[in-house]
Amino acid sequence: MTVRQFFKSAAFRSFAVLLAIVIIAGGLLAICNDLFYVSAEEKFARTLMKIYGKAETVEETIELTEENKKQPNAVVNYAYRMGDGNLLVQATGKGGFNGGTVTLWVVVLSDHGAFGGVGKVVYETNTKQTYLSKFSDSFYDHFSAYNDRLKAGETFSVAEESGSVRVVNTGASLSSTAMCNAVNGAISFCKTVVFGEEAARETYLYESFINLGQSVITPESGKVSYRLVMKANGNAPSFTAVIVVENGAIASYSTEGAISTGGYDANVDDSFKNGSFFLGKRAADVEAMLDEDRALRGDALSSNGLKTGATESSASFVRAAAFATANYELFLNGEGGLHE
Amino acid sequence: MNKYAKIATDGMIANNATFKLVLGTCATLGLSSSAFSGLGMGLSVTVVLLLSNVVISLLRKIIPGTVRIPAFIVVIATMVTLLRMFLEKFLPSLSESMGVFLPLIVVNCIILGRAEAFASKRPVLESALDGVATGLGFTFAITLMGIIRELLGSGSFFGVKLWEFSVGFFSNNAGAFFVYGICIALFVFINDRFEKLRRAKRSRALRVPSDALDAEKEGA
Repeated sequence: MTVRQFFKSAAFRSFAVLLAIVIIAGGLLAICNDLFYVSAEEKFARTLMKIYGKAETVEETIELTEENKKQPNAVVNYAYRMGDGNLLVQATGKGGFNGGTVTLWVVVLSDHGAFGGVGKVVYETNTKQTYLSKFSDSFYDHFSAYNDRLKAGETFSVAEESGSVRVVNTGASLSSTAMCNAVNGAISFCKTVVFGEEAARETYLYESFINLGQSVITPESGKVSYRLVMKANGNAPSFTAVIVVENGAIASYSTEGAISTGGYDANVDDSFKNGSFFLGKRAADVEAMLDEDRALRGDALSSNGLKTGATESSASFVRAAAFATANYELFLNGEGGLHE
Repeated sequence: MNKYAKIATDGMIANNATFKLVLGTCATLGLSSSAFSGLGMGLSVTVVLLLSNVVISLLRKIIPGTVRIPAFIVVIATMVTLLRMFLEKFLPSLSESMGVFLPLIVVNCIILGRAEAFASKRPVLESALDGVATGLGFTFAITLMGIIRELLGSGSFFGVKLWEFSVGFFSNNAGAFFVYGICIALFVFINDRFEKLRRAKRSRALRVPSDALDAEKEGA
């Protein structure tokens, strides 16, 4: 085939036509991309319109630092003081389905410079949450219906617990958990960073996962015996972990009560159920399985040759062990206030 | 019936893409949970059908047959991207409610089907009419399903709450299949009845009246 024949061939014509269509289409899209560009300011104005139903002014952008943006099981992304004196916080709650997150806008009310409750919650986005369609707009109104209890220090939870307001969408409890964490995170941020309240301090490491009021901790010579009533964690119900720590290492570990709901029991490793995995483990060994947010590391189970598929229950097992070993010295020396 | 009327009725009723040809099922099932999102999707598909049919019809003598499908896809994808940009700029709530189904219009087989079967062979005006008619047929179908599912699944009509009674089944995927099946059955049934009536009317009109025959015999 000569060069002239090639340029007259059907193959060249097809290529040229297709290329011409692609170039024209690309040019058109490039022009329209500029014409229809939505700026960050426009996006934010739309968000404000969605939240307030009218144009609202931002008085001040609250500066976020690496320290203050991290809240328990949540991260604060943006925070503003609005023209009406209240605060608008965008927070991402962790602990959703499949380790995903839910991001919400939370209007935190200011009552003469003190925390005044939640004004409104508006959904923004999510990762890995497949049941978000189960949440109607009216679901988010629950978060602003308990301001008296929130002012008294209660937080949101999907489980029926003392000291918390239960907000859950049955059938999407993990997404509900992430939402509760987002709202709790926004409230905690405003209380500590904006309203200047002192952050709740932990007396014991990992105490936020334990129902301390119902737990029994008995120090003896060289060992501490624990009956820890775990807080519910998604599909992991509130079960009791009976642990004995001797010389800083776990000497026995067993559980009482159902360890999982939703049929995930079979996915909890047998060595967790009979406690053999934890025998001889020290605080450092157990804490290495948790990340900086005290969630179970992604490879914590698989790297130890354990079954996966019941992350919430497995996390509760590990947190109980972490509490028992990390606070061992404290209880042994009689510095704790929970022992009999 | 002139050819334009035939194209219009074919696209909207006789060859309704959703209820008769069962095309574009993914979007139909995914976005018929509410009347508003159904209507939005239907109108979006109509716009893309109109634009892509016009462009493809204009280019039908230029595009070689061997590369026609990739060329159609590029044209359709361009139109869908333009629509997406337009909606994000001017109708963000509609764009948000359509979610992933908006860019997925690119692979909606109704659009590629009409491009291949009609626009690539017919003049611009007819192709444009076919695009609008097919799009409106799709809009009618998906909006009807949206109205039924929204009424039964959440007790509202275009977002306006009418009653508290609702059956969750109609809001989920199984409910979408159920309503789709019922709508197809009803559509085919009604269409068949009309077709039978039309044929009976036509055959009566073609039959020679008996008194005219008698008069002919007497004359002989």
